[in-house]
Amino acid sequence: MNFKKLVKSGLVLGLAASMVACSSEPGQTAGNAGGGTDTDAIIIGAIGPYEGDTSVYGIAVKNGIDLAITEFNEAGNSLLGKTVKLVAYDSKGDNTEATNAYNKLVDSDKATAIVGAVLSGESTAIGTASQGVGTPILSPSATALAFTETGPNVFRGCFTDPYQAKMMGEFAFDTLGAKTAAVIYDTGADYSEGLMENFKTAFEGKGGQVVDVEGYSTGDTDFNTQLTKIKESNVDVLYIPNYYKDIALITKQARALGIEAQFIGGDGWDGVLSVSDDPTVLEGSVFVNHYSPDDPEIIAWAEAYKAKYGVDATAFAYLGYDCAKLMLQAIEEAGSTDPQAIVDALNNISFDGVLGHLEFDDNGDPIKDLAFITIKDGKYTSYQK
Amino acid sequence: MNISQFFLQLINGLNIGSIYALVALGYTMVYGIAKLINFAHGEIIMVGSYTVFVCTTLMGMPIWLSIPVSIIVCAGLGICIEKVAYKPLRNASRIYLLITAIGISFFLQSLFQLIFTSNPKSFPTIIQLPPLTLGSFSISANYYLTFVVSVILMIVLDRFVKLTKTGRAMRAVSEDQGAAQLMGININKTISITFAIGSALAAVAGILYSSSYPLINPFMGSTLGIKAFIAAVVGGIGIIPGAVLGGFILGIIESLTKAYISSQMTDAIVFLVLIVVLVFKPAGLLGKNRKEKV
Repeated sequence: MNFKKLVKSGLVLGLAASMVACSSEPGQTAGNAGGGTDTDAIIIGAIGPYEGDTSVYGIAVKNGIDLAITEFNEAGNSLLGKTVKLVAYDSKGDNTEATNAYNKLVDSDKATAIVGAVLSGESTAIGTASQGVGTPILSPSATALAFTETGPNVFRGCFTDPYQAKMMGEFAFDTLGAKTAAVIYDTGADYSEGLMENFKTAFEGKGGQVVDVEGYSTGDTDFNTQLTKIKESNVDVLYIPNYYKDIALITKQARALGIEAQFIGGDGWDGVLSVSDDPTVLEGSVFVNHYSPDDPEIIAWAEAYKAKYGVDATAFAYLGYDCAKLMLQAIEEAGSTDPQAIVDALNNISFDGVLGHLEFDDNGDPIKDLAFITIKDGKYTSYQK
Repeated sequence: MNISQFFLQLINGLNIGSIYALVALGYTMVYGIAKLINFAHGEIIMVGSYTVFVCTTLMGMPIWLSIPVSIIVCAGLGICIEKVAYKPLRNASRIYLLITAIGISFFLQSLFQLIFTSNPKSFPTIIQLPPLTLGSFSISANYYLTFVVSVILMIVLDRFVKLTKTGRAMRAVSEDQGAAQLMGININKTISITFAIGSALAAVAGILYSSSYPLINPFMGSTLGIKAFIAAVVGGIGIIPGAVLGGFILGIIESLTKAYISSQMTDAIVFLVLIVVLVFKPAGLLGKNRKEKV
């Protein structure tokens, strides 16, 4: 081998080594993650977007799970004679990253169960990836119907998109007294499109009229064109089924154009006050959420949460906390770390958490209540007629 | 078709079009003189918006003060980028400059993502003027201000390049760098001034854009930059009134497509227009008279 070849092969090797080094650390979050297996602890895996547009959701869920596990360990409890440890990986909201994180949790961290992922798309991706091993997966927040259809080991702790949209459609007609509605949704997001369709069906089923449905592309910031058309239709309510970032811009532009319709929406609204520069445009809006902010148990929990993490608790934090506790209870009841035993325990579980009572139906979807929240004086409050 | 509705959609189009025009002015300015497509221009817009955010929300500075600060920071950043990244490559092949520009763009995006995370930040309300009422229409202050600012800046820039001594130096550098140098023009200084003006324009565009759409994130400049680049090319890159014309055309096409055809088709139609313009007028709509180039 001459010198040039030697240098070349050295370069290739170096490159390969650096790639391996990169891929072995897919955004592990500091503090609560440890490499390799830990035979003294039961590993609970978490996956979610801890960076990027949707990181508000991912971090809240992770904090919730972390709080549940910290409390469990600090109370001196043991699960099957061991302590519990959380290993969390960042998905960056990306389906491929989420699948990589799942594989790493199962293969190298030997996670017993996974509380995650956070967004509907990435959760469905890990649900599909889990079909070989059958690791129990409980997502605190994946609302898309398709998620629990990926397999018998896949559960969710929140209500589904069709269910919340149906409830909102009926509520808008019955309680808010709306006769006409318009919808503005993101044509590139399954979540948004699913809510739009189910809301329309429910609202029209009650006898209301959906006068105008306007779409926009993911990442748009200018909605004036669509809103100008909606203004023309002069509707009672404007249904905005999306995530908080778009909502902040849409509501502001709608009020600036002089649209007087009441804004209503889904659980993606939670957190909207944190990015709004002008909360008065949101005043009187109603959205569906997973809990009522006035419940004393909720308030006490929220204070403990804020003391530990320095931010206000959102629905995602409660869901993360409850789902982690639920998973621990299921492992305890299963009496082993065998995936099938835990799945059986989840199917028969009767759980009481901070968000109330929860059981699973045959699809792995929860049977639980939902809450209607309104924004009053720049704060989230329970809706009262 | 409802006439008042159509009129409102035209105004919507002019609003977003004015922003494209402002950004396109910066692109065109730099391209006209340095013959470089400065792909980092979109990121300078983002830096301009973040500067206002840092000054007002984090440091509690009054808004009127934060605007000049942001313009100065961006002008300085423009000069720095030129000195550090483009000047050493001035005699290299164009393709290296283009790739360096893309590199600078990624660098700024990642840097701001590291400092501010990618969570969107809420931008302070800057414009607090009453809306303009024309009969039954009411046009918000953001709209008419953006429009007026972009038209005024276009006229000022055009006059500046055509009538002042510095402007004449810029045109000379644009035409023939070697000859300009022999005539005693300081090329380095002229190019620095070009970058400073282009980046100051980006700061203004960023502030106006963020007042209309008050959520800022480190990636806000990339789409805006691409749209404005198309506007500059459609109007004739290197030609100052062309940038503004291109911006308005682009904004109106977007708005009318969303209103009357389909919101998913918007980008497809915008790019189709670009292709048609380039096929029939490769130098852009106003790109006929080459002597007009700045």
